[in-house]
Amino acid sequence: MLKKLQIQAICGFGVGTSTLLMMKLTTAFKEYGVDAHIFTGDVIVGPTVPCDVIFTSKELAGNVQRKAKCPVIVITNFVNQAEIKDKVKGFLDSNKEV
Amino acid sequence: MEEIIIRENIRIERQKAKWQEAIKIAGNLLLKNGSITESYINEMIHTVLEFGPYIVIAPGMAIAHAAPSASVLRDDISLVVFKDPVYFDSQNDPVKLLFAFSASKKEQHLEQLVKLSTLLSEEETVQALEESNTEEEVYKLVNSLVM
Repeated sequence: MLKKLQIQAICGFGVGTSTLLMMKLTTAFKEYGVDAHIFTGDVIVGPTVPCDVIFTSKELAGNVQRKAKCPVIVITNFVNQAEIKDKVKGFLDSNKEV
Repeated sequence: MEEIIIRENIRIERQKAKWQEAIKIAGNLLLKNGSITESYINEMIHTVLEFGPYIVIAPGMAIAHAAPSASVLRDDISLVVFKDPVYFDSQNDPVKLLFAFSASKKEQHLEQLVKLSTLLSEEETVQALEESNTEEEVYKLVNSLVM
């Protein structure tokens, strides 16, 4: 990969739940040895910020998807490292093929 | 080391509550110790009405909050353990652990929240929290990381 992946965690305001998600994502990307820039965003501005992938909750996904130009991945359990790791792997695998 | 949640911000609730009432109970703890003004409680409820129950971030667990605003006087977190779990119309219902938090600035992520995330990733701790019967028990479990 040539450039650092830009990964965004989105919640309502980019302060609470997205912070939790960002931490889990950081751990997951590290485990796969991928150097990524992981940041948080809110549901209004976040989707318009350029990035490679967005992770968010089921309830916000619809709103985010309408505006986002990148894949949007839904996380059901924000504290479950296994689910997040699994979905990060899914993203990394699909990203390789492109 | 600083506590993750102070003693006065922890409550066991045995009464049945609708989700709006539940957020009020958790918000009132923050109000009582001067971390927010009353309007922040309504803002937290409004967040769910506007965006849906996304604050229910994991099975049985919700983090009520609103945008950083003038109603936030300082960063803080409260926790209410509901003995009669609360329904938010979420896939992660029913909620036994309801956190409420106030953040004064957007850029600054709560260090306490970060620590909390570690704690909430441990299934045994979450289960022990849900089964707690006294505020003292909850207090000790929540702060076990830093004490």
